Amino acid sequence: MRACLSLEAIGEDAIGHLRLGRVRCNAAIPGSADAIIGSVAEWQRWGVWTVDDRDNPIREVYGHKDYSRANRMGSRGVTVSYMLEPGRYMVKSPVSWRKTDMYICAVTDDGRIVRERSI
Amino acid sequence: MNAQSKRMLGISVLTASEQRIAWTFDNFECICVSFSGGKDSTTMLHLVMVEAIRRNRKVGLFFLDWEAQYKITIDHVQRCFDLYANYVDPYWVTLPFRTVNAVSQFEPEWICWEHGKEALWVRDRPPMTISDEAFFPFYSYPMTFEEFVPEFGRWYGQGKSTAIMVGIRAGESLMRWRTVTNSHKHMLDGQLWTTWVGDGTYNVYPIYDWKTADIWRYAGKTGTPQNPLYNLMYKAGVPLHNQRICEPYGNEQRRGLWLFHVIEPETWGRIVARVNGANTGALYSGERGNVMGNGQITKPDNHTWESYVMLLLSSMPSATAEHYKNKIAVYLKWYRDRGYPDGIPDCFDGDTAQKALPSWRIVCKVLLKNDYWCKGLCFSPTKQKSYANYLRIMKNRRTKWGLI
Repeated sequence: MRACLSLEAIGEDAIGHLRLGRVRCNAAIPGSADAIIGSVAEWQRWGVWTVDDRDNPIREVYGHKDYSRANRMGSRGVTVSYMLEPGRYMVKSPVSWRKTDMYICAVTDDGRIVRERSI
Repeated sequence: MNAQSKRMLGISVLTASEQRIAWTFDNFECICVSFSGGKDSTTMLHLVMVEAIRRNRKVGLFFLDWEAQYKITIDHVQRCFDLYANYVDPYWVTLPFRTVNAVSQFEPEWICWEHGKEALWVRDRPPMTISDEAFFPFYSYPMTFEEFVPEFGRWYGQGKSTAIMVGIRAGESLMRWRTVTNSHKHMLDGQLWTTWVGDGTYNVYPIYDWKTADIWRYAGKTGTPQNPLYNLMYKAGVPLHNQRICEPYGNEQRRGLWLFHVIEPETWGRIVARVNGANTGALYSGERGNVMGNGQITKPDNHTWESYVMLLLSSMPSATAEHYKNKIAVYLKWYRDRGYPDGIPDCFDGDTAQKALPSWRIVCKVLLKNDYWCKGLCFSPTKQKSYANYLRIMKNRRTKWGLI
């Protein structure tokens, strides 16, 4: 059974601008944004990844963004929902503008999410 | 499944639906059946309950009672709730909801179970139904059904993976076909018969590929209870594919108003007294032409379509006219900025008053149809709680645009 995990994507608007800026810079001078900004993934403060036996992230799980309760800017209230199959995952979840909660969790066969350890 | 074409799977629609339902039970923690008492949702309910009973799992059973409904339908709904009482969490909702009344310009919307109109209600609230407005924390008086349903899904799931089973069929209408085959929507595991609606909630359409004949074949072969109203509709001469059960006064639904006095005369008396224009709707909704805006429409010879629109607006109650003017202003502004700087044409060759090209004739058709939310001009309903704000904003914008 799937488990549903919802995170608030705090600062979603800034990440959106960053992505757009990166594409434009790279289009103008290939590779320039990669050199200056780096990967967007480094800036992204939320996400869910499948992990291997040593808890190294393997693949990012796709989540649905819901803007229905977001503020006008899209900086708060944007939620990202993940439908997780049984298995182990690394979760990166912002709890405030400054703090991010990172942990390893397992989804059980009956669809429960069990937090294993913080990172 | 290829969204562009049908592909036969080599199995019956019944087997395919059973597989979809089993998959849903495998993947979702919470399951709720959206039930209307109609033939499709009844069939889906029976199919879902077979799987629920086999797995010994409880599912939610949601029914929104529109007050103005056939007694036969309500009896059928009660029978279904009783039949599966041990395996369902019942949500028979009798809260006030605002919806369209397409048979009157004086009362373009009506509220079922409205406060202060208890004496006019078509019938009393059945016992054991949800009538307490505090029961759902997200409910506000009088929200629309469209606002309520996604919130209900979220509330019911409480953050868990939730499937709302919806008994629509792609063969019913082009919009429903699009709902299922839209490959750009968010779905689960690429299954086109699922649609993500928020958080962990998905709409699931397990009988999307059934035809009307399949529904009746299933009822006939399994002997599961169906709504006996359809037998009466058949006797009244309604073709099999036109038999529908839903709220009575909507834009499409008003065509079935005449059936009330044929099938349930005792209910008809209260249906007429309940809202303005019900009798007119029953008399003329089936007519083509200017009476209800169905099919080809005509204008007086001494008018252009634009001047005819102005004439129609001037004949409306002021609140309704203002509502339409707001919508028309946005429509005109949209096309002024997109290729029609001198205004939209009055009509054009081959104009069938469809949405593809703008014209005053289309606007006229919307007014004649009492299309209150102007779906014919590609608008969607304004949220109820934002409507007062919308009016204020539109007043300023219309002054600025100077269009209508």
